[in-house]
Amino acid sequence: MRVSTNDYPLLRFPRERAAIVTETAQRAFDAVLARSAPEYILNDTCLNEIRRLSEGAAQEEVRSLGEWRRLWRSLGGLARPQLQEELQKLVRGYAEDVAGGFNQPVYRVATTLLPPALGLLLTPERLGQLAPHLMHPSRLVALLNQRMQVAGPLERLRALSQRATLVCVPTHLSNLDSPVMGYALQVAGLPPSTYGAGKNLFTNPVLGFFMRNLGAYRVDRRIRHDLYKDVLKTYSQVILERGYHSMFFPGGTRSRSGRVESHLKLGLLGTAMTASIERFRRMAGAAPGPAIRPLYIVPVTINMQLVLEAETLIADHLKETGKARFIIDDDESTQLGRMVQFVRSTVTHAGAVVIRFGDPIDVMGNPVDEAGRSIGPHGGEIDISRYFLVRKGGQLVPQVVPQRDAEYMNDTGHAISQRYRRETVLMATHLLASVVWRYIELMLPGLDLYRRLRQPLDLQLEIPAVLADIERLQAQLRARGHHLGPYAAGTPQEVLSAALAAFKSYHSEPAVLRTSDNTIAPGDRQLILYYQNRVESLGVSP
Amino acid sequence: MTEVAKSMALSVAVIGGGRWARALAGQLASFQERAPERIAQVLHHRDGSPLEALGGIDLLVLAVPATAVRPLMRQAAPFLNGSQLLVHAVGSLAPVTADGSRSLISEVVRAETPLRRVGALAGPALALDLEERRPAALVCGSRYDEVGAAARQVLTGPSLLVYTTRDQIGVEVARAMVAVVALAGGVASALDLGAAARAVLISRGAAELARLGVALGASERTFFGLAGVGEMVVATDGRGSADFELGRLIGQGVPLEQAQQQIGRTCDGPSMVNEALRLASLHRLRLPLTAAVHHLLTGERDAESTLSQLFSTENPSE
Repeated sequence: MRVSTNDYPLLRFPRERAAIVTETAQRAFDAVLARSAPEYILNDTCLNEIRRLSEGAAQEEVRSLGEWRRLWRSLGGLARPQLQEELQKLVRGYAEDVAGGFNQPVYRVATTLLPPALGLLLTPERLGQLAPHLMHPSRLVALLNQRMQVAGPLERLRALSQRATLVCVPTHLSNLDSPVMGYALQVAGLPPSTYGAGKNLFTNPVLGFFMRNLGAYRVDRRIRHDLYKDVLKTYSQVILERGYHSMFFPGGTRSRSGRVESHLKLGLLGTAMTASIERFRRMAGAAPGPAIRPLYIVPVTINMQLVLEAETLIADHLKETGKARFIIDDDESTQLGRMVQFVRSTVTHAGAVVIRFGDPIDVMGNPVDEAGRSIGPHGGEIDISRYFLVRKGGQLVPQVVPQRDAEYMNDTGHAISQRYRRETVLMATHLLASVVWRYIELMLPGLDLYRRLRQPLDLQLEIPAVLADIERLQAQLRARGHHLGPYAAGTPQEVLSAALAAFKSYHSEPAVLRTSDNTIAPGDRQLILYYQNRVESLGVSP
Repeated sequence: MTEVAKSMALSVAVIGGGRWARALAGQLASFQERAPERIAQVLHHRDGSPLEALGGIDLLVLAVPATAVRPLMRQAAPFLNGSQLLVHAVGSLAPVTADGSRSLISEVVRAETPLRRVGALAGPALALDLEERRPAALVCGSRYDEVGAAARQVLTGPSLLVYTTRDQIGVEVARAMVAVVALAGGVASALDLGAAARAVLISRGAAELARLGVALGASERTFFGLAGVGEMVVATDGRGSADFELGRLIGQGVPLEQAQQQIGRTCDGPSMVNEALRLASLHRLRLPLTAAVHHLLTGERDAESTLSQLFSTENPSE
């Protein structure tokens, strides 16, 4: 079964946009006023913005520094109704700023253009070799389909998407993840989904045009004050309540270390829970409004043989964790690395990609059955609306309780990270890196990570020994029920060849390279660390 | 009493047939008579009582032996739902699983049932204190504020104070590991070491258990509060603690097995010593007091040499 192209909620967006902005503004306004007085909120917001805009360059701001200053200076002289009016205007401005858009003609064009474009980015040939393909987009699509696998209970998710709102939560490795996910949804026959994209991405006129028209909404990560976060969360909640399938990257940022994420940021994802509570409130007659469809969270792992920004990401990670020890001599190389990476990211990049959708879970982290019913730890059906009941005037009513819901969300986050581990697909590059890293550890015993990355090392590894190690690692991973990707599931020889070819085709200094017919040697040790971290974070070592 | 206040009254079930469960049920029943606006109903659920009855209860108070928790929760699970709260008064950890580890009782409850809002009770209150209405205090540790509030609502009375904390792990670990200090206290008593030794045991014991707790995600403070030091003071004063009695016999040179037979009650101490040492090696912690008690239990050393070893190796920087 495929989702009909006329059947997904985002199509309604152009008609509903104004109503969504109005509802977001009104609800956010009510919510912040219930917490604090308008003069405090405005004061806090103004001071935050004045500080931010005085320190950094302004870009696509809702208000200019001068406007913020004027507003702040005027606060003392304003009466309560005027203060409320100012606050209302501000909230409305933010809601407008956040709201995305969706344009079906643009979506059609993009879904025809995206696969060839992604094909370009994900196929192994160098740009020169790609030239002939450019004339034949269909060949690129075919290549892409070879390169990208979409796996998981897709039939089930398609059925569920017809009567429920799906919240996809993918792992995050690369800036390519959002287009890759967009394409994966299309391949999976799942409806397109809205997501929050960094406002900086919208400043690019081409990218911005597409993002604005493909259902992405704008998240300005530079703004730190609560009022903006409230508007953003309210917006996300409103569109979830209205049945717009959504996507969040709960890792918050690309995984710097290459590890599978375990510490998740649950702020925006928490709106799936508050939207569910609103659903139960409406079902119980405790809140007005049309019925809300049930919401399910779908953990997704994005698995890449090679990661576009691997070099920069791991360098960033080491700088962060190593602090002073690592910063000393790499200033130039970091800048150079950035430049090289930038050029590359626009050119070409080799690698296989596996997008693996996991089984859906409810907002409490419980598994759900085919009919969408939540299953408790005892194997029986449970009614999750009961988790949100609060005693009010002799009755039990579903209601948001921030402290309780934050704890529930922690459990849900834990359930998601467990799913990530289970659904992670290991690629040939991960296996080879893991095996080679173990040799590096053996050769440089007792050193800390940073020395291990820098100490001179002349290490030639005999291929038969490496193959035996790969086989052992494969067996270990299989025994623990982990998924092995297209090449990683092959013979140890296939793993080795695929990994060496992949490393060679992309990174400036390959992570591992062949040095003779019978030997391989470690190359860029940071890259080895990066790719082996994927395996290590699953608690497995060869 | 207003209508609103009346509607807030909670129904409570005490689950368990032991002395501690009976004392809690008695306390609740008498309190219900005096404060019906707080407690709507008290159910004392013993072995064999129908589990269905638990379905309509707001707050479950679990007071059964640690070994009974998992099977009981598994049976009760179909009748329980997410709106219910549970506090347990089980002063131990769950029995060893296949991989050699032991979980917190609250984890077992959450793993077996739909219950999520779970908490733990601990503190210097013996069954006897409740029975005779002598002043005592408990602390309820829960990640969920509603659980602490509910425990406080139904248990606070003229002679019983209930404090709350969000450090659930701390409360559970402290309460379980107090048995180690109780054992040591018994030994010290057998050797007639006096009040100073007991004070040293308590304060250094608390510091040692706090290190363990922090490694498990607890807050250090909890170990110096009611669940830690509070319980230790009671457990080392020689009245009512089976582990203290066990320690006293061992301090007199009676071998462990024989001592356990002589007492005839469940002693958690020896298994908590093993668990503490397992966790210590996992998290690379130094637990000199626990290690010393372990030597005594295994018969590797006698009380005198253990004591001299303890005093020679303890790092005197507090």
